[in-house]
Amino acid sequence: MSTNIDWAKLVSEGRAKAVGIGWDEKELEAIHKNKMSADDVRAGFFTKAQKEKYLEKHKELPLDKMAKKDLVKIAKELKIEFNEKVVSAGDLAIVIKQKQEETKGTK
Amino acid sequence: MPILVSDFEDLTDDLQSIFNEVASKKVAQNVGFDIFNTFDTDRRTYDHLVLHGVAGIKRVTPGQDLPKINAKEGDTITFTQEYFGGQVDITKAMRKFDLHNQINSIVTSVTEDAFDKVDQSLADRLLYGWSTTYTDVYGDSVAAIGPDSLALFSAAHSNPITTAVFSNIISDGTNTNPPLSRQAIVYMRAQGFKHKDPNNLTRSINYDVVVYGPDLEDLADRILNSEYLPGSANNDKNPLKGKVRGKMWPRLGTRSDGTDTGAYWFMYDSTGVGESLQCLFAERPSLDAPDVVYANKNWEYTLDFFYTIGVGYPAYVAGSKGDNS
Repeated sequence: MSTNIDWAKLVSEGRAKAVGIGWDEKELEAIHKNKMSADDVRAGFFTKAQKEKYLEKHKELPLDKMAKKDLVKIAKELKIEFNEKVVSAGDLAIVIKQKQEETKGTK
Repeated sequence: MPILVSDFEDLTDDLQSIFNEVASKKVAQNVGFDIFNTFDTDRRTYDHLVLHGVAGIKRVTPGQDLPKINAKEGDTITFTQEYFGGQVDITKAMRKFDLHNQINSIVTSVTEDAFDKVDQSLADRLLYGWSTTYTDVYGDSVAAIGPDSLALFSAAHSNPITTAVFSNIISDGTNTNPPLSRQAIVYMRAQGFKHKDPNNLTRSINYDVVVYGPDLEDLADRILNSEYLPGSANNDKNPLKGKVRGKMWPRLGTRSDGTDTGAYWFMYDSTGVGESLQCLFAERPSLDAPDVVYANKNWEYTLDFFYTIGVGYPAYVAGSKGDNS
């Protein structure tokens, strides 16, 4: 009894966590009750205070906690070729990290 | 008298009659087919489009182009048919010693098994409605998501147009998943009538049927069918009588994994539930005679079918575990 839905569309609309992974109750509460963005909840921030506290300590977000739109910007700066509609934030973060390490190695 | 090869046609006719008799009895008994929109399709994968209300109709002046209504406001979901079946061996010994009674029993049992499992699979879709995956009555893992990637019953069903969400978990105004009560039915009916689509247009849902298992039959009957308001001292009339009907589905008492679900109950809009709950057959169960007689001399009759279960726009059905969770 397999069921297939348009995961990519739901992810891009912030209505699913990732392709094949829906939001759980705690995450839904963060989005609808705490008014957190889907990208923030994907990064593990369920309240604004939680995110602010993290940024106070770490100054900036690591690649795996960044929103897709920010990753797209970095990837374009690094001249990585990708299909923006299809690629996931997680995959993009991996490729950016590899590219950054390659660049570091050649310097 | 032994059943000989020359009797093959007669035996097949007999077994088909038994199958038809048992199948029609089961179809009449199975409540799932009454609730789910059960229909036939030739497609193995069936695409269903859920529209959350479209902001399409507008006043037009003569000569003006009519506004376009596009499906951007919708979600898509694809249901894929799966194949199920079994084999009934009519052995040489059964035929040699004319064990007609045994042959009848086997065909009856396997036919009942097929229809019972289909009905249980439909009941499980409701009973596991709070999960996104579960193991079905056939022992296979099933993805039980709707078009918004959430479980059938969720407090935050979403749409692609706005951030508005709706819940189809039954509430009595204080608790979610309340036990069956008049208060919860009245509250949910009011919520249903006030249901709005993402364009903020009221699209009423008339929760006019309550479905429950055997443990709640007596209570439900009193709540829905008493002439006067149950528990009231002044013999108020019972406003639910005639507006909401009850439906007892024996399978709702126990899930296929053996969990006691006697307190679970559900409400649906009888005119819209077919959009929320669907059962698609590419081939209904049928008993087929073997084309050849095999080397082991068994006559192998087969019972098989293709079907799938799908969830569309989930607003027309609501569920409660009955535990105030």
